Amino acid sequence: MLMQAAALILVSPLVAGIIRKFKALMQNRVGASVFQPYRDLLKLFRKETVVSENASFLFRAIPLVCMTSMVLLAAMTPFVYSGVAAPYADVIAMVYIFTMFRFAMVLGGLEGGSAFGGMGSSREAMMSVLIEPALLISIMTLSAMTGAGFDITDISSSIIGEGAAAISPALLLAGTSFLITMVAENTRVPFDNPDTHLELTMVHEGMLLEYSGKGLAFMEMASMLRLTIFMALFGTLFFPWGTAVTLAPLELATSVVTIAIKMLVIAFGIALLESTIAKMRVFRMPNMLTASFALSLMAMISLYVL
Amino acid sequence: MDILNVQLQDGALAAVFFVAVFVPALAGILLGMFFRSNRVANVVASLCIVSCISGASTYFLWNAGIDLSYTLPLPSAAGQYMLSIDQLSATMISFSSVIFMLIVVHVVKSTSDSGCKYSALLNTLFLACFSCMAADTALVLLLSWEMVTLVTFLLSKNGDNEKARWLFFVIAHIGGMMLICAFVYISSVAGTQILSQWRDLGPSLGDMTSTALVLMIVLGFGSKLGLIPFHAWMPNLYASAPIHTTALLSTVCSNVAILVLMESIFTYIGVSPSMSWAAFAIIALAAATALWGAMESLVQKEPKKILAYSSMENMALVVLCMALGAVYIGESPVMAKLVLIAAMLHTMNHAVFKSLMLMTIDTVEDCTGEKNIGNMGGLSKTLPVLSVVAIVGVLSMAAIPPTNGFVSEWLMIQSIMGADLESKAMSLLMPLALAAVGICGMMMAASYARLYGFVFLGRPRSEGMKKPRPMKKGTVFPMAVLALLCLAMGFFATVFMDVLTSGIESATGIPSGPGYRSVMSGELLPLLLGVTVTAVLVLLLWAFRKEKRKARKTRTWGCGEKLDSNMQYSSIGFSQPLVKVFHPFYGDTSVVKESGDKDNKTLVMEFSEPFVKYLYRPVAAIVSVLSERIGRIQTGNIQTYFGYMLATLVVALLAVRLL
Repeated sequence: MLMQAAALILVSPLVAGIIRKFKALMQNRVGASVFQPYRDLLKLFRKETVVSENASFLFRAIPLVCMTSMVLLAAMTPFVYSGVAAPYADVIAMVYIFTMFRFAMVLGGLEGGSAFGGMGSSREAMMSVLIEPALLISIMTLSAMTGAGFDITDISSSIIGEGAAAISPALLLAGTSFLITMVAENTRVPFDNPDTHLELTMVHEGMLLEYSGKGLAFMEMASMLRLTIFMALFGTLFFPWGTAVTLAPLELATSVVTIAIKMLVIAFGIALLESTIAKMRVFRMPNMLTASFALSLMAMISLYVL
Repeated sequence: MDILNVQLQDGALAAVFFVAVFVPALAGILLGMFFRSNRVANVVASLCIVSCISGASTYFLWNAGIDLSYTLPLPSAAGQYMLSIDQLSATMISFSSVIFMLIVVHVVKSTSDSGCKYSALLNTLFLACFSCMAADTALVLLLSWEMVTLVTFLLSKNGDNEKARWLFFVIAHIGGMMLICAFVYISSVAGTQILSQWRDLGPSLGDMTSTALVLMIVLGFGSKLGLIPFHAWMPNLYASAPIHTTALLSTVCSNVAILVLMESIFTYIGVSPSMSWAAFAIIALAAATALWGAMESLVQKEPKKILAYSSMENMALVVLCMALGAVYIGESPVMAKLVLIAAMLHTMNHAVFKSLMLMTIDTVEDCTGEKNIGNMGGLSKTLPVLSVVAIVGVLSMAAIPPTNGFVSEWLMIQSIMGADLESKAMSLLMPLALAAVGICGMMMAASYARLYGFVFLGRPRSEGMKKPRPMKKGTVFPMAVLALLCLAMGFFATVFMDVLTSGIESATGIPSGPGYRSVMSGELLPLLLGVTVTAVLVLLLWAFRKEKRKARKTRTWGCGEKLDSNMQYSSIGFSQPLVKVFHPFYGDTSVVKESGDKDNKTLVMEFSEPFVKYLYRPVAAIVSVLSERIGRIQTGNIQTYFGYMLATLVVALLAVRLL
């Protein structure tokens, strides 16, 4: 199970590379190799660190805190097998670890006193107020729906156990909300553009502007890992069919294939979204985010009403 | 040894205990009344600390099986002066005494507010809080609660803040009046004043009456905790009163209020199913208060006001948990136990991180002379020790694992979601409560990020921030202890929960049958998570410790420009996106100010409390108009007054006769 966490961490730059490749192909470009993110990270690790003279000790610690929170999450995400390595696999704790990541990022944006960082932090704070509750509620819907309590490991197995009967309005609504949350939380188009530093509409990249070298490598790695964790969560919790519930070799092999297909589909979807839709104006984002929040709330309510 | 034991357990130890609590503080009060010098002020404060230490031993004495009760041999018109400590109050007394002691230590070390009178009043406040928590008769309870209000009113005098003080005084007394009515009525029905004999009086009070009494008690204590619409005094008093008064008001006094509230609802009156609509009303009120506090804290200009609204939010969450406990108690007592543990634990956690943050902000204001967050920034470079302490406090306020704030919010969410209720209407409430808690939590996190970010990070925005005075010697000690408590209570939360459990069981009458752990997910989770976070962090730090070249320091990138202190995000700009999203709640915030110059207009953002504008001011206007009208009958002619008296007497006699 530790191996699955390690696999998740190792595969995350590849996922980012695949999305970029898909995008390039859709835009009639050849694009960089899917392994390019690994090379980028390695290069960043070797580069010199430049720190703003206004930054405090916290600035050096934030990349580590972000990476730590993502490693913790990777250890509690079912990927190929529904069990996880972490002894703290609790759905509420999961949402709060995401909050920890965000909080560190927001503080990091305010370090150095750059206007870009401040802007990024400010917008991130706005989005988080709408995103995190939606995330919390949609995941809680799953745990309430399956009666699995708060243990992540029980959710996928009990949905698989129910078979097609598990496809209820609650699951669909919560899944949709989770998808919107995934796009927003990972600051992809239409909420944010991950490829640019200088647009005035940026959120996530604004906060990263002051990092360099190893710190930047950690931050980049953490955001790639975050996307991969979200994809894995969608593939194993909201649409868990195919995920191995026992450690039988055959089941594990099918599980590897199915999760690969699921993640490729999501990656394709993200690439398609980014190639066809323009980025939203900042103050139109709340509409979309509120929709996600409302969907998750409806999912939860439908559990009690239906 | 045996003889000693027998002698001690013969009530003598209890007497020794109460002497140890009361005598030093009373001596302090006497000293403080007659002397003025600063040296005596320190002696007075030290006496208070001695009392606090005796108070802190309460739980251990209770645990040793000593019956802590005492009756003051003094006659009174109504009942006796009786003190008696049960398990829950022993826990809270010990805990609050520790917090009280740390705050007094900070008073002594920072000496910004001291003076003999202030210290003497601190002693009084400690005794008032102690006897309120230890009260065994309604008389003692009400007297000491009134003392708490009066003393905090006196303690909050600070230059020109009469308006804020009096507003607090009036609102606290509206609440106090409700409490007096409620407790006097209950004691008349119960036939006794002795609180330990009040147990589940609900049936003898009747359904409607007991519901009304519960509402009165909640609102009565709510006036101190800042429930809507009683919160109007909080921001101004927090901003203007001496910081230690604020810290005591927001931590120890809140602890008192929550403890007595809990005992009144669950022990004295007892929850009956007919109260569920009242519980709904309280849940709605508490959720509204929490959301309001979270939203308002985002736009405050003074750090102390941010903390005021944060107190309001935290206390509202505690009240919400208690109301949920009342809903659960009939159907699943174990969940009720869990939710009440969450409430009490959050009260304790709040006391720790709020007193820590108030001390931090006081130090910031003291060292820099700045009060406006818009002029702050960059302190973590100049006051690194303070910034380390502050980051711990901020993290626990924002409920980031593995701090104590996380543990109590985690418990709250679990207990909201974990309940399996029969009634659909009740179950429907749960997602809404969850949404409220979730949104509040994230808003507060944004607000705390703003608090830390614009005080400690970035570039200094004013002269005072560039060269702050060094911190006063020893002030960091109480803050460091509180910061360590934040972490310790996060890692070892289960220890505190276990201590609270049996107290809550005996107070509410929930059978100890299935323990709270049976409904809790991952009972060791706080510790495991804490250890793992630390381990991974240390591991990463160790694995990547090697640095080829030393990090180079340069200017922040500013598109080629040299950035000055105003070329960075401002604190008011930081919360603008959220203000824009939630603009219906903030109302019209931008005001164009015209100066004499025609071409010169300034746009300022102003946030006013709508409750003051649309509720307090109109009520005040009506009252003053009415009193002017009534004033007309006061002619100044003594014969008319005799006439009034006669008329009143006749009416009163008739009323008594006829009713």
